[in-house]
Amino acid sequence: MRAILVKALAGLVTGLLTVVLASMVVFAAVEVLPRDPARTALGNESTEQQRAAFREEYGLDDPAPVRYARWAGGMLRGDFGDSIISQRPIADELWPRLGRTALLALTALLISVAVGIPLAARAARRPGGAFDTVANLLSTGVSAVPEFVVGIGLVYIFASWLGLLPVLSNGVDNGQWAGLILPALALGLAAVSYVFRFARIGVAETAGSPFVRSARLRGFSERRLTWRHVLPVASSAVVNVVALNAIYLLGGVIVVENLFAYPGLGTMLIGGVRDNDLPTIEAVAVVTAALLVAVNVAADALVAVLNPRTRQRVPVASEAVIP
Amino acid sequence: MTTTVDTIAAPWRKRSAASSVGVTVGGAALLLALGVALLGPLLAPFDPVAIAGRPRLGPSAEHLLGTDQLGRDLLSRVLHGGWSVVAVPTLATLVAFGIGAAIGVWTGLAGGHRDLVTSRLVDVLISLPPLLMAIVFISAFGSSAVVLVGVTALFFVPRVVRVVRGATAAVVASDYVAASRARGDSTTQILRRDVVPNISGQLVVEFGARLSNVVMFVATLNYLGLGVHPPQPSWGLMVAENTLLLRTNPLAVLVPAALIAALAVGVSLVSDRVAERLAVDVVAP
Repeated sequence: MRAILVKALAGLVTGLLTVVLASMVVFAAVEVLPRDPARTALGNESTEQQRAAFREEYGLDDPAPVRYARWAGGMLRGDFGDSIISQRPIADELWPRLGRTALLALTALLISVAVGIPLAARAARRPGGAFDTVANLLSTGVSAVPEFVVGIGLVYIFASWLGLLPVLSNGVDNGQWAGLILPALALGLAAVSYVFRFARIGVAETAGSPFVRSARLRGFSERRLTWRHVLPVASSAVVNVVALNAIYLLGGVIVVENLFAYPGLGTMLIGGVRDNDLPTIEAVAVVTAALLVAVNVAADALVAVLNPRTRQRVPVASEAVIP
Repeated sequence: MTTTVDTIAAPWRKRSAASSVGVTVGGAALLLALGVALLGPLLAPFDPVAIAGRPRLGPSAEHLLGTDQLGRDLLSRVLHGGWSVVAVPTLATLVAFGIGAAIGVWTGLAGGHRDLVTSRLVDVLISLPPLLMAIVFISAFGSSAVVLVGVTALFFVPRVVRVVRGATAAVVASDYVAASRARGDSTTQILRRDVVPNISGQLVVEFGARLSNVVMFVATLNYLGLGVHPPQPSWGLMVAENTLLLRTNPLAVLVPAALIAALAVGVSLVSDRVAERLAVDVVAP
């Protein structure tokens, strides 16, 4: 138990360091090129005096470390500064969008697990069989296709062709939940192949282990073996892979949100890029990196809880004698 | 004797049947995408950036794929639009690989504190999400082929370093390197005779895997409008530009999307096959 706590703490510290580093890289990237935010905000017709007053007001003439400290300190208090375009606090827009991005990602995750795990369980029953072969090829294929191509295919089938679902998801914040289905499906499909491949390995390995063989010899049904004996042990492998691929899933979120005009962090980020709104880009990038770290830390904790070997305080061997 | 061979060969034959389907499909897809990308510019009937007809025309004998929102010939744009999706990822992977493999071999050979420092640094850099960081960098530096190659290479170098360092360290720890050292071979000789021949298989596999990642990565940046500048054509950008035509002229979007898919899946399936082949060769003497 103590070992788990120490490990979790170490993960937390590494995660915090990652967020700090990400914020530094983001700040430095924006710093490298000489630019005049005052001119961006006030336009080319502004006088030098107006621009000087603007720089004074926002403290743009201070040295870089001072500005970094002020910026990072502000973010710690939940103050992300103002958008150059709308002149409104970035935080006001950021938090509701963070919630919607989390909703999209969680729905996609649910889809990928609900589809990927049963497929993996079925494929691992006969490794190298027809089902396994086809499923493997399909998962290699899907995982190599960029998310926006998968998404366009879904839009074509379900929106343009069948006319079942809306193309755009910008109504999601007004309660038009049908708009959530296609983006979640696009993102979920991309993740299914990851979940499938790693769960399949986990299931196949576990299915060959002695405790499953002994359970089979006791006459339990294949269904019970799969769901009660194999999957609980293999589930930690799945959680691990979801965490490992969170980085790539996150890239997927950015792309899929833009494809469907989903009002989340991804559209906010790309909107900021189009408007050259650097404070918005910086804020979204750091919050997204922090989100990612949080997912990783949470997944580590979940692995520790799910895996019977780390969860049980009593050594497994002593229990095995009793029945 | 024959039965032993059979039981050993059986699972291998099964896997090879599955992967030969994969490599056939993958190879065909890759050839198609590369053919269109490399030979397309020679075959295009119209100038890809010039207005060639009325906007939003459907497919016809004159415009096989129709025209886009501005009246540019979509077939010509498809034929010209593959170049950037093929050249940028290849170049970026080569750059990332050159730098990453050099650092990886060096730290693997050097060992000690240099190895430790580099490895920790690599761990931290890998934890930065590539697409997010690339978006920040491109919005700060503007987008051009140089920035695109540089940024892509930058975020894939640490991943290459990690793999190559691991492979090199495993070779360096072996007895035959100890023997070479005892014989008084120089580091250059050890590098040339022991390290490079033994890690080259893993290098090839790693290159294929990275290339398929980078193709997706660059296509995605293109799609988000962070790659090629309009009006230049690019498959990724074309999918974004023509999304509104999906209902009236689906080919305008589906053809470039399918070509990206063919390229990405082709690279992935073929490199999987190469990896399998090399692994088989290593196991069977």
